[in-house]
Amino acid sequence: MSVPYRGIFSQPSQAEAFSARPVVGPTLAGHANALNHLAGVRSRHWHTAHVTQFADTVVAEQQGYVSNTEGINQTAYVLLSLGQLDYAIELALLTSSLQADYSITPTVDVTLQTLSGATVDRGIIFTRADNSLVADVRGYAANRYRIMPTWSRSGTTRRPGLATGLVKTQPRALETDTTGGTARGTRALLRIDTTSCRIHAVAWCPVWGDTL
Amino acid sequence: MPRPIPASYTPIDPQELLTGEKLLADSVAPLSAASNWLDAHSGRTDCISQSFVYNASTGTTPCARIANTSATVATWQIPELSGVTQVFVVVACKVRPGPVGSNHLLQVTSVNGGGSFSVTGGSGLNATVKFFSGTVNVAWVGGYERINLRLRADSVSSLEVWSILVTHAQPTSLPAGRQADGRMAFDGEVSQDNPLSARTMQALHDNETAYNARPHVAVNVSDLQNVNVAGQDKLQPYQHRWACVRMPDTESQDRTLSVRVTISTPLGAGVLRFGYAGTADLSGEGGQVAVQLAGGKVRDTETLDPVTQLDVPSITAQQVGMLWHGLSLWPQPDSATWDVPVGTSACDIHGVLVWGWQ
Repeated sequence: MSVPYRGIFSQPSQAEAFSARPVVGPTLAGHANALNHLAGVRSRHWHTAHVTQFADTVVAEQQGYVSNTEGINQTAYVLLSLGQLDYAIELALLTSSLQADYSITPTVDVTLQTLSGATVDRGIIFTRADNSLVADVRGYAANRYRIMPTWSRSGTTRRPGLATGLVKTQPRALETDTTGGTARGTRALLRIDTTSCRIHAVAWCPVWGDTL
Repeated sequence: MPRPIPASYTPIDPQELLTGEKLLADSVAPLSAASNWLDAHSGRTDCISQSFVYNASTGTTPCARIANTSATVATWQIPELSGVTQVFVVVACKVRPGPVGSNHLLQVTSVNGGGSFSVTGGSGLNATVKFFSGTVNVAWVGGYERINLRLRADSVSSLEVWSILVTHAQPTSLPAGRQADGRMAFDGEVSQDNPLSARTMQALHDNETAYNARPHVAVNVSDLQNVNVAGQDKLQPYQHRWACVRMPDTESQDRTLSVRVTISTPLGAGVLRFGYAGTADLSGEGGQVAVQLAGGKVRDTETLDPVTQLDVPSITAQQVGMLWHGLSLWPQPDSATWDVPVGTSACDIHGVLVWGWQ
Protein backbone atom coordinates (compact mmCIF):
# COMPACT_ATOMS: atom_id res chain seq x y z
CA MET A 1 0.00 0.00 0.00
CA SER A 2 1.33 3.42 -0.92
CA VAL A 3 0.14 6.17 1.38
CA PRO A 4 0.94 9.88 0.92
CA TYR A 5 2.49 11.76 3.81
CA ARG A 6 2.89 15.43 4.52
CA GLY A 7 6.03 17.44 5.11
CA ILE A 8 4.25 19.53 7.71
CA PHE A 9 3.38 18.22 11.15
CA SER A 10 -0.17 18.76 12.34
CA GLN A 11 -2.32 16.98 14.91
CA PRO A 12 -6.02 16.88 15.69
CA SER A 13 -6.89 19.26 18.51
CA GLN A 14 -7.11 17.71 21.92
CA ALA A 15 -10.60 19.12 22.27
CA GLU A 16 -11.84 16.66 19.66
CA ALA A 17 -11.40 13.86 22.18
CA PHE A 18 -12.54 15.66 25.31
CA SER A 19 -16.29 15.31 24.92
CA ALA A 20 -18.36 12.32 25.89
CA ARG A 21 -19.21 11.55 22.30
CA PRO A 22 -17.36 8.76 20.54
CA VAL A 23 -14.24 9.62 18.66
CA VAL A 24 -15.03 9.73 14.97
CA GLY A 25 -13.18 9.25 11.73
CA PRO A 26 -11.77 12.71 11.04
CA THR A 27 -9.99 12.79 14.40
CA LEU A 28 -8.42 9.40 13.79
CA ALA A 29 -7.53 10.32 10.24
CA GLY A 30 -5.76 13.35 11.67
CA HIS A 31 -3.73 11.10 13.94
CA ALA A 32 -2.95 8.84 10.98
CA ASN A 33 -1.61 11.82 9.07
CA ALA A 34 0.47 12.90 12.06
CA LEU A 35 1.97 9.42 12.52
CA ASN A 36 2.67 9.07 8.79
CA HIS A 37 4.41 12.43 8.83
CA LEU A 38 6.56 11.38 11.78
CA ALA A 39 7.52 8.14 10.06
CA GLY A 40 8.17 9.86 6.75
CA VAL A 41 10.24 12.66 8.25
CA ARG A 42 11.40 12.07 11.82
CA SER A 43 12.45 8.47 11.39
CA ARG A 44 14.55 9.31 8.33
CA HIS A 45 18.29 9.72 8.65
CA TRP A 46 20.39 12.62 7.37
CA HIS A 47 23.67 14.01 8.58
CA THR A 48 26.93 15.57 7.47
CA ALA A 49 30.15 13.71 8.23
CA HIS A 50 33.14 15.99 8.57
CA VAL A 51 36.26 14.57 6.93
CA THR A 52 39.33 15.69 8.84
CA GLN A 53 42.33 16.57 6.75
CA PHE A 54 45.95 16.81 7.82
CA ALA A 55 47.08 20.34 8.56
CA ASP A 56 49.11 21.40 5.54
CA THR A 57 52.83 21.74 5.98
CA VAL A 58 53.70 23.05 2.52
CA VAL A 59 54.53 26.73 2.96
CA ALA A 60 52.28 27.89 0.16
CA GLU A 61 49.40 25.98 1.70
CA GLN A 62 50.13 26.05 5.38
CA GLN A 63 47.48 28.61 6.11
CA GLY A 64 44.93 26.10 5.02
CA TYR A 65 44.38 27.46 1.55
CA VAL A 66 44.64 24.55 -0.78
CA SER A 67 46.36 25.72 -3.93
CA ASN A 68 47.11 22.40 -5.55
CA THR A 69 45.48 19.00 -5.39
CA GLU A 70 47.33 17.37 -8.26
CA GLY A 71 48.30 13.85 -7.35
CA ILE A 72 46.57 13.93 -3.97
CA ASN A 73 44.73 10.64 -3.67
CA GLN A 74 42.64 10.01 -0.59
CA THR A 75 40.44 7.34 0.93
CA ALA A 76 37.70 8.20 3.40
CA TYR A 77 35.61 5.71 5.31
CA VAL A 78 32.35 7.41 6.26
CA LEU A 79 30.15 5.50 8.68
CA LEU A 80 26.45 6.20 8.64
CA SER A 81 23.18 4.79 9.87
CA LEU A 82 20.15 4.45 7.65
CA GLY A 83 16.52 4.43 8.66
CA GLN A 84 14.17 1.59 7.87
CA LEU A 85 12.32 3.82 5.41
CA ASP A 86 15.46 5.12 3.71
CA TYR A 87 15.42 3.15 0.46
CA ALA A 88 17.80 5.50 -1.32
CA ILE A 89 20.00 8.43 -0.33
CA GLU A 90 21.12 11.59 -2.03
CA LEU A 91 24.76 12.52 -1.47
CA ALA A 92 26.55 15.84 -1.41
CA LEU A 93 30.35 15.78 -1.36
CA LEU A 94 32.41 18.77 -0.29
CA THR A 95 35.69 18.57 -2.18
CA SER A 96 38.51 20.71 -3.46
CA SER A 97 40.24 20.00 -6.73
CA LEU A 98 41.71 21.89 -9.62
CA GLN A 99 39.31 23.41 -12.11
CA ALA A 100 41.75 23.23 -15.00
CA ASP A 101 45.45 22.80 -15.83
CA TYR A 102 45.61 19.36 -14.31
CA SER A 103 47.41 16.39 -15.79
CA ILE A 104 45.35 13.83 -13.89
CA THR A 105 41.60 14.26 -14.17
CA PRO A 106 40.13 14.70 -10.67
CA THR A 107 37.62 11.99 -9.74
CA VAL A 108 35.76 10.77 -6.66
CA ASP A 109 34.43 7.20 -6.41
CA VAL A 110 31.73 6.34 -3.86
CA THR A 111 30.54 2.86 -2.89
CA LEU A 112 27.95 1.83 -0.28
CA GLN A 113 28.90 -1.29 1.68
CA THR A 114 27.71 -3.18 4.70
CA LEU A 115 30.08 -3.34 7.66
CA SER A 116 30.68 -6.99 6.82
CA GLY A 117 31.97 -6.02 3.40
CA ALA A 118 29.04 -6.74 1.08
CA THR A 119 28.58 -4.21 -1.70
CA VAL A 120 25.08 -2.77 -1.47
CA ASP A 121 25.45 -0.22 -4.26
CA ARG A 122 28.27 -0.60 -6.74
CA GLY A 123 28.65 3.14 -6.62
CA ILE A 124 29.01 6.33 -8.54
CA ILE A 125 31.84 8.46 -9.92
CA PHE A 126 32.08 12.21 -9.75
CA THR A 127 34.55 13.54 -12.30
CA ARG A 128 35.65 16.78 -13.86
CA ALA A 129 35.44 15.11 -17.25
CA ASP A 130 31.63 15.25 -17.19
CA ASN A 131 31.39 18.23 -14.83
CA SER A 132 29.74 16.20 -12.08
CA LEU A 133 32.67 17.14 -9.82
CA VAL A 134 32.38 20.86 -9.17
CA ALA A 135 35.35 23.14 -8.52
CA ASP A 136 35.72 26.75 -7.49
CA VAL A 137 39.18 28.25 -7.88
CA ARG A 138 39.56 31.85 -6.81
CA GLY A 139 42.52 33.95 -7.82
CA TYR A 140 44.43 35.94 -5.28
CA ALA A 141 47.74 36.95 -6.80
CA ALA A 142 50.24 35.69 -9.28
CA ASN A 143 50.98 32.02 -8.66
CA ARG A 144 48.83 32.16 -5.60
CA TYR A 145 45.21 31.09 -5.61
CA ARG A 146 42.92 29.03 -3.49
CA ILE A 147 40.67 26.14 -4.30
CA MET A 148 37.43 26.64 -2.40
CA PRO A 149 35.78 23.55 -0.95
CA THR A 150 32.73 23.07 -3.15
CA TRP A 151 29.70 20.80 -3.06
CA SER A 152 28.92 18.22 -5.73
CA ARG A 153 25.59 16.40 -5.55
CA SER A 154 24.42 13.01 -6.69
CA GLY A 155 20.88 14.16 -7.37
CA THR A 156 17.75 12.26 -6.43
CA THR A 157 17.24 10.20 -9.56
CA ARG A 158 16.92 6.54 -8.67
CA ARG A 159 18.29 3.84 -11.01
CA PRO A 160 18.07 0.63 -8.95
CA GLY A 161 19.17 -1.49 -11.89
CA LEU A 162 22.54 0.24 -11.97
CA ALA A 163 23.24 -0.29 -8.29
CA THR A 164 24.21 -3.92 -8.83
CA GLY A 165 25.81 -3.45 -12.24
CA LEU A 166 29.38 -4.27 -13.10
CA VAL A 167 30.67 -0.73 -13.15
CA LYS A 168 30.21 2.50 -11.27
CA THR A 169 27.98 5.01 -12.98
CA GLN A 170 27.55 8.74 -13.20
CA PRO A 171 26.08 10.31 -10.06
CA ARG A 172 22.58 9.16 -9.04
CA ALA A 173 20.91 8.37 -5.74
CA LEU A 174 22.52 5.41 -3.96
CA GLU A 175 20.30 2.39 -3.32
CA THR A 176 20.32 1.03 0.22
CA ASP A 177 18.60 -2.32 -0.30
CA THR A 178 19.73 -4.45 -3.23
CA THR A 179 20.47 -8.04 -4.09
CA GLY A 180 24.04 -7.33 -2.99
CA GLY A 181 22.95 -6.61 0.58
CA THR A 182 20.97 -4.23 2.67
CA ALA A 183 22.04 -1.21 4.64
CA ARG A 184 18.47 -0.12 5.40
CA GLY A 185 17.74 0.08 9.10
CA THR A 186 21.34 -0.48 10.11
CA ARG A 187 24.85 0.99 10.00
CA ALA A 188 26.85 1.04 6.82
CA LEU A 189 29.98 2.34 5.15
CA LEU A 190 30.39 4.91 2.40
CA ARG A 191 33.81 4.20 0.96
CA ILE A 192 35.16 7.21 -0.90
CA ASP A 193 38.32 7.16 -3.03
CA THR A 194 39.64 10.28 -4.69
CA THR A 195 42.16 11.02 -7.42
CA SER A 196 43.79 14.47 -7.37
CA CYS A 197 41.09 15.66 -5.02
CA ARG A 198 40.65 16.37 -1.32
CA ILE A 199 37.40 15.52 0.39
CA HIS A 200 36.21 17.69 3.28
CA ALA A 201 32.67 16.57 4.12
CA VAL A 202 29.98 14.13 3.04
CA ALA A 203 26.30 14.91 3.51
CA TRP A 204 23.44 12.54 2.88
CA CYS A 205 19.70 12.65 3.13
CA PRO A 206 17.01 10.23 2.09
CA VAL A 207 15.28 10.46 -1.23
CA TRP A 208 12.12 11.41 0.56
CA GLY A 209 9.56 10.53 -2.06
CA ASP A 210 6.00 11.63 -1.39
CA THR A 211 4.47 8.35 -0.26
CA LEU A 212 5.28 5.72 2.34
CA MET B 1 0.99 -6.51 28.90
CA PRO B 2 3.68 -6.54 26.20
CA ARG B 3 4.59 -3.32 24.51
CA PRO B 4 5.63 -4.66 21.12
CA ILE B 5 7.80 -2.76 18.65
CA PRO B 6 6.58 -3.72 15.17
CA ALA B 7 9.32 -4.99 12.88
CA SER B 8 8.40 -2.45 10.23
CA TYR B 9 6.26 0.62 9.78
CA THR B 10 2.86 0.02 8.23
CA PRO B 11 1.52 3.25 6.75
CA ILE B 12 -2.02 4.09 7.76
CA ASP B 13 -4.38 5.24 5.04
CA PRO B 14 -6.41 8.11 6.53
CA GLN B 15 -9.13 7.49 3.97
CA GLU B 16 -9.98 4.19 5.61
CA LEU B 17 -10.80 6.02 8.82
CA LEU B 18 -13.13 8.53 7.22
CA THR B 19 -16.14 6.26 7.21
CA GLY B 20 -18.49 8.65 8.96
CA GLU B 21 -19.43 5.82 11.31
CA LYS B 22 -18.62 5.31 14.95
CA LEU B 23 -15.24 3.57 15.05
CA LEU B 24 -14.24 0.79 17.39
CA ALA B 25 -10.85 0.20 18.88
CA ASP B 26 -9.87 -2.67 16.62
CA SER B 27 -10.22 -0.50 13.58
CA VAL B 28 -7.53 1.84 14.81
CA ALA B 29 -5.10 -0.65 16.31
CA PRO B 30 -2.65 0.25 13.51
CA LEU B 31 -2.36 3.69 15.09
CA SER B 32 -0.99 2.25 18.31
CA ALA B 33 1.36 -0.03 16.38
CA ALA B 34 2.63 2.95 14.39
CA SER B 35 3.13 4.91 17.59
CA ASN B 36 5.18 2.13 19.15
CA TRP B 37 7.31 1.80 16.01
CA LEU B 38 8.01 5.52 16.07
CA ASP B 39 8.94 5.30 19.75
CA ALA B 40 11.79 3.00 18.74
CA HIS B 41 12.83 4.65 15.48
CA SER B 42 12.16 8.38 15.35
CA GLY B 43 15.06 10.61 16.25
CA ARG B 44 17.57 7.79 16.69
CA THR B 45 19.87 9.12 14.03
CA ASP B 46 23.56 9.90 13.87
CA CYS B 47 24.94 12.05 16.70
CA ILE B 48 28.55 11.86 15.54
CA SER B 49 29.95 10.78 12.20
CA GLN B 50 33.48 11.92 11.55
CA SER B 51 35.99 10.50 9.12
CA PHE B 52 39.76 10.86 9.27
CA VAL B 53 40.95 10.69 5.71
CA TYR B 54 43.69 8.32 4.58
CA ASN B 55 46.17 10.08 2.37
CA ALA B 56 48.24 7.97 0.02
CA SER B 57 51.10 10.47 0.21
CA THR B 58 51.40 10.46 3.97
CA GLY B 59 50.41 6.82 4.27
CA THR B 60 48.29 7.38 7.34
CA THR B 61 45.30 9.26 8.75
CA PRO B 62 45.42 12.40 10.93
CA CYS B 63 43.94 10.46 13.86
CA ALA B 64 46.91 8.27 14.78
CA ARG B 65 48.78 7.90 18.06
CA ILE B 66 51.99 5.97 18.69
CA ALA B 67 52.72 6.99 22.30
CA ASN B 68 52.45 4.31 24.95
CA THR B 69 50.14 6.39 27.13
CA SER B 70 46.41 6.82 26.90
CA ALA B 71 45.17 10.26 25.87
CA THR B 72 42.01 11.87 24.60
CA VAL B 73 42.41 12.67 20.92
CA ALA B 74 38.90 13.89 20.08
CA THR B 75 35.84 15.05 22.00
CA TRP B 76 32.24 15.82 21.05
CA GLN B 77 29.05 16.86 22.79
CA ILE B 78 25.75 15.23 21.84
CA PRO B 79 22.24 16.51 22.66
CA GLU B 80 19.85 14.64 24.89
CA LEU B 81 17.26 12.28 23.49
CA SER B 82 14.75 11.79 26.27
CA GLY B 83 14.80 8.31 27.74
CA VAL B 84 18.04 7.22 26.08
CA THR B 85 20.64 5.76 28.44
CA GLN B 86 23.04 4.29 25.89
CA VAL B 87 24.66 5.28 22.62
CA PHE B 88 25.75 2.83 19.95
CA VAL B 89 29.30 3.23 18.68
CA VAL B 90 31.07 1.98 15.55
CA VAL B 91 34.75 2.71 14.91
CA ALA B 92 36.97 1.80 11.98
CA CYS B 93 40.59 1.43 13.04
CA LYS B 94 43.86 -0.47 12.62
CA VAL B 95 47.47 -0.52 13.80
CA ARG B 96 50.25 0.57 11.46
CA PRO B 97 52.55 -1.13 10.62
CA GLY B 98 51.77 -3.76 13.23
CA PRO B 99 51.73 -6.14 14.86
CA VAL B 100 49.22 -5.25 17.54
CA GLY B 101 50.64 -5.24 21.05
CA SER B 102 49.11 -5.75 24.45
CA ASN B 103 49.18 -2.00 25.10
CA HIS B 104 47.16 -0.98 22.07
CA LEU B 105 43.86 0.38 23.32
CA LEU B 106 41.04 2.40 21.77
CA GLN B 107 38.36 3.68 24.11
CA VAL B 108 35.15 5.58 23.51
CA THR B 109 34.05 7.02 26.84
CA SER B 110 31.19 9.13 28.15
CA VAL B 111 31.92 11.81 30.74
CA ASN B 112 28.57 12.03 32.54
CA GLY B 113 27.52 8.40 32.18
CA GLY B 114 30.95 7.01 32.97
CA GLY B 115 30.55 4.49 30.19
CA SER B 116 33.31 2.99 28.12
CA PHE B 117 33.72 0.86 25.00
CA SER B 118 37.15 -0.61 24.33
CA VAL B 119 38.98 -2.16 21.39
CA THR B 120 42.19 -4.14 21.91
CA GLY B 121 44.14 -6.91 20.26
CA GLY B 122 41.78 -9.28 21.98
CA SER B 123 38.92 -7.64 20.12
CA GLY B 124 40.52 -8.52 16.79
CA LEU B 125 42.44 -5.29 16.25
CA ASN B 126 45.28 -5.81 13.75
CA ALA B 127 46.99 -4.18 10.77
CA THR B 128 43.86 -4.23 8.59
CA VAL B 129 41.06 -1.68 8.89
CA LYS B 130 38.21 -3.32 10.80
CA PHE B 131 34.92 -2.20 12.26
CA PHE B 132 34.22 -2.55 15.96
CA SER B 133 30.90 -1.76 17.60
CA GLY B 134 29.48 -1.57 21.08
CA THR B 135 27.43 0.54 23.46
CA VAL B 136 28.35 3.24 25.96
CA ASN B 137 26.19 4.29 28.89
CA VAL B 138 25.31 7.97 28.87
CA ALA B 139 23.74 10.49 31.25
CA TRP B 140 22.51 13.96 30.42
CA VAL B 141 23.67 17.07 32.24
CA GLY B 142 22.13 20.29 31.02
CA GLY B 143 20.78 18.41 28.04
CA TYR B 144 24.14 17.15 26.81
CA GLU B 145 26.62 14.30 27.15
CA ARG B 146 30.30 14.44 26.21
CA ILE B 147 31.87 11.61 24.23
CA ASN B 148 35.64 11.19 24.16
CA LEU B 149 37.85 9.12 21.88
CA ARG B 150 41.00 7.93 23.64
CA LEU B 151 43.98 6.11 22.14
CA ARG B 152 47.04 4.29 23.47
CA ALA B 153 49.70 2.52 21.38
CA ASP B 154 53.00 0.84 22.18
CA SER B 155 55.67 3.25 20.89
CA VAL B 156 56.24 0.92 17.92
CA SER B 157 53.03 0.75 15.89
CA SER B 158 50.50 3.58 15.76
CA LEU B 159 46.85 3.03 16.51
CA GLU B 160 45.03 4.67 13.64
CA VAL B 161 41.34 5.62 13.48
CA TRP B 162 39.65 5.98 10.10
CA SER B 163 36.11 6.76 11.17
CA ILE B 164 33.70 6.92 14.08
CA LEU B 165 29.91 6.77 14.27
CA VAL B 166 27.77 7.36 17.36
CA THR B 167 24.00 7.02 17.33
CA HIS B 168 21.32 7.02 20.01
CA ALA B 169 20.84 3.32 20.70
CA GLN B 170 17.55 1.78 19.63
CA PRO B 171 15.51 0.11 22.33
CA THR B 172 14.68 -3.56 22.21
CA SER B 173 11.60 -3.03 24.38
CA LEU B 174 9.46 -0.07 25.34
CA PRO B 175 9.13 1.17 28.92
CA ALA B 176 5.88 1.04 30.86
CA GLY B 177 4.12 4.16 31.99
CA ARG B 178 4.42 7.78 31.06
CA GLN B 179 7.95 8.98 30.29
CA ALA B 180 9.55 12.33 31.05
CA ASP B 181 8.75 13.70 27.62
CA GLY B 182 5.10 12.69 27.87
CA ARG B 183 5.09 9.65 25.60
CA MET B 184 3.61 6.36 26.68
CA ALA B 185 3.93 3.06 24.83
CA PHE B 186 0.75 1.18 23.95
CA ASP B 187 0.49 -2.23 25.51
CA GLY B 188 -2.52 -3.54 23.66
CA GLU B 189 -5.16 -1.80 25.71
CA VAL B 190 -6.56 -0.17 22.61
CA SER B 191 -8.38 -3.38 21.76
CA GLN B 192 -10.12 -3.14 25.15
CA ASP B 193 -10.96 0.50 24.65
CA ASN B 194 -14.33 0.01 23.06
CA PRO B 195 -15.57 2.55 22.09
CA LEU B 196 -12.47 4.70 21.83
CA SER B 197 -11.89 6.95 24.76
CA ALA B 198 -10.39 10.34 25.28
CA ARG B 199 -7.58 8.62 27.20
CA THR B 200 -6.34 6.79 24.13
CA MET B 201 -6.61 9.92 22.02
CA GLN B 202 -4.66 11.88 24.61
CA ALA B 203 -1.93 9.24 24.61
CA LEU B 204 -1.67 9.41 20.82
CA HIS B 205 -1.52 13.18 20.98
CA ASP B 206 1.19 13.20 23.63
CA ASN B 207 3.24 10.59 21.80
CA GLU B 208 3.12 12.49 18.53
CA THR B 209 4.16 15.67 20.32
CA ALA B 210 7.10 13.92 21.96
CA TYR B 211 8.32 12.30 18.74
CA ASN B 212 8.08 15.62 16.96
CA ALA B 213 10.33 17.25 19.55
CA ARG B 214 13.26 14.86 19.23
CA PRO B 215 16.63 16.33 18.31
CA HIS B 216 18.41 15.68 15.05
CA VAL B 217 22.12 16.39 14.77
CA ALA B 218 23.16 18.02 11.50
CA VAL B 219 26.90 17.96 12.07
CA ASN B 220 29.33 17.26 14.90
CA VAL B 221 33.04 18.01 14.52
CA SER B 222 36.05 17.63 16.76
CA ASP B 223 39.65 18.64 16.28
CA LEU B 224 42.49 16.29 17.20
CA GLN B 225 44.89 16.48 20.13
CA ASN B 226 47.72 14.22 21.26
CA VAL B 227 48.13 12.63 17.84
CA ASN B 228 51.34 11.88 15.97
CA VAL B 229 51.41 14.97 13.77
CA ALA B 230 51.19 18.28 15.60
CA GLY B 231 49.00 21.15 14.47
CA GLN B 232 45.73 19.21 14.23
CA ASP B 233 44.31 20.81 17.37
CA LYS B 234 42.10 23.32 15.57
CA LEU B 235 40.17 23.47 12.33
CA GLN B 236 42.36 24.60 9.47
CA PRO B 237 41.66 28.11 8.10
CA TYR B 238 39.74 27.30 4.95
CA GLN B 239 35.98 27.56 4.68
CA HIS B 240 34.47 24.50 6.32
CA ARG B 241 31.01 23.74 5.05
CA TRP B 242 28.32 21.36 6.15
CA ALA B 243 24.72 20.78 5.14
CA CYS B 244 21.46 20.52 7.00
CA VAL B 245 17.87 19.83 6.06
CA ARG B 246 15.23 22.48 6.63
CA MET B 247 11.70 21.35 7.23
CA PRO B 248 8.79 22.92 5.39
CA ASP B 249 6.90 23.59 8.62
CA THR B 250 5.61 27.10 8.87
CA GLU B 251 6.28 27.19 12.58
CA SER B 252 9.64 28.80 13.17
CA GLN B 253 10.74 26.18 15.68
CA ASP B 254 11.34 23.68 12.93
CA ARG B 255 13.70 26.06 11.20
CA THR B 256 15.69 26.75 14.33
CA LEU B 257 19.22 25.44 14.79
CA SER B 258 21.08 25.04 18.05
CA VAL B 259 24.79 25.74 17.58
CA ARG B 260 27.67 25.17 19.98
CA VAL B 261 31.22 26.02 18.90
CA THR B 262 34.34 25.29 20.94
CA ILE B 263 36.84 28.12 20.56
CA SER B 264 40.07 29.61 21.91
CA THR B 265 41.33 33.18 21.64
CA PRO B 266 45.09 32.93 22.25
CA LEU B 267 45.78 36.15 20.35
CA GLY B 268 43.31 38.30 22.27
CA ALA B 269 39.70 39.31 21.73
CA GLY B 270 38.17 38.03 18.53
CA VAL B 271 34.96 37.21 16.78
CA LEU B 272 33.24 33.99 15.82
CA ARG B 273 31.19 34.07 12.63
CA PHE B 274 28.85 31.21 11.81
CA GLY B 275 27.25 31.05 8.39
CA TYR B 276 23.83 29.46 8.48
CA ALA B 277 21.80 30.32 5.42
CA GLY B 278 22.42 28.30 2.33
CA THR B 279 22.82 29.92 -0.99
CA ALA B 280 22.41 28.14 -4.26
CA ASP B 281 25.79 26.47 -3.79
CA LEU B 282 25.28 25.45 -0.15
CA SER B 283 28.10 27.75 0.89
CA GLY B 284 26.36 28.96 4.01
CA GLU B 285 27.25 32.51 3.08
CA GLY B 286 23.69 33.77 2.84
CA GLY B 287 23.40 34.75 6.49
CA GLN B 288 25.77 34.97 9.40
CA VAL B 289 25.81 35.17 13.18
CA ALA B 290 28.70 37.05 14.75
CA VAL B 291 29.69 36.60 18.40
CA GLN B 292 32.27 38.81 20.07
CA LEU B 293 34.81 36.85 22.10
CA ALA B 294 37.04 37.98 24.92
CA GLY B 295 40.73 37.20 24.87
CA GLY B 296 42.24 34.34 26.83
CA LYS B 297 39.52 31.76 26.23
CA VAL B 298 40.78 28.20 26.12
CA ARG B 299 38.49 25.61 24.55
CA ASP B 300 35.37 27.38 25.74
CA THR B 301 32.04 26.25 24.37
CA GLU B 302 30.12 29.16 22.88
CA THR B 303 26.39 28.56 22.67
CA LEU B 304 24.94 30.71 19.93
CA ASP B 305 21.46 32.16 20.15
CA PRO B 306 19.01 29.90 18.30
CA VAL B 307 19.50 30.42 14.61
CA THR B 308 16.39 30.75 12.50
CA GLN B 309 17.01 29.79 8.91
CA LEU B 310 15.73 32.23 6.36
CA ASP B 311 13.82 31.73 3.17
CA VAL B 312 16.83 31.73 0.94
CA PRO B 313 17.55 29.45 -2.01
CA SER B 314 18.48 25.88 -1.30
CA ILE B 315 20.59 23.66 -3.49
CA THR B 316 17.67 21.38 -4.06
CA ALA B 317 14.05 20.93 -3.16
CA GLN B 318 12.97 17.36 -2.68
CA GLN B 319 9.49 15.97 -2.39
CA VAL B 320 7.25 17.09 0.47
CA GLY B 321 9.14 20.34 0.69
CA MET B 322 12.47 19.37 2.25
CA LEU B 323 15.32 21.77 1.55
CA TRP B 324 19.08 21.46 1.92
CA HIS B 325 20.82 24.40 3.49
CA GLY B 326 24.46 25.24 3.95
CA LEU B 327 26.36 25.93 7.15
CA SER B 328 29.88 27.28 7.33
CA LEU B 329 32.76 28.34 9.53
CA TRP B 330 35.95 29.90 8.27
CA PRO B 331 38.81 30.24 10.77
CA GLN B 332 40.92 33.27 9.96
CA PRO B 333 44.16 32.72 8.05
CA ASP B 334 47.35 34.52 8.88
CA SER B 335 46.95 37.99 7.41
CA ALA B 336 50.71 38.27 6.94
CA THR B 337 50.60 35.57 4.30
CA TRP B 338 47.09 35.65 2.89
CA ASP B 339 44.26 38.05 2.33
CA VAL B 340 41.54 37.77 4.94
CA PRO B 341 38.23 37.09 3.23
CA VAL B 342 35.00 38.61 4.47
CA GLY B 343 33.21 36.27 6.83
CA THR B 344 36.21 34.66 8.48
CA SER B 345 36.38 34.26 12.24
CA ALA B 346 39.18 35.63 14.40
CA CYS B 347 39.65 32.76 16.83
CA ASP B 348 40.72 29.14 16.96
CA ILE B 349 37.89 26.65 16.40
CA HIS B 350 38.12 23.22 18.00
CA GLY B 351 34.66 21.79 17.57
CA VAL B 352 31.20 22.37 16.15
CA LEU B 353 27.82 20.90 17.04
CA VAL B 354 24.72 21.87 15.07
CA TRP B 355 21.38 20.30 15.79
CA GLY B 356 17.76 21.20 15.50
CA TRP B 357 14.16 20.03 15.15
CA GLN B 358 13.02 20.89 18.59
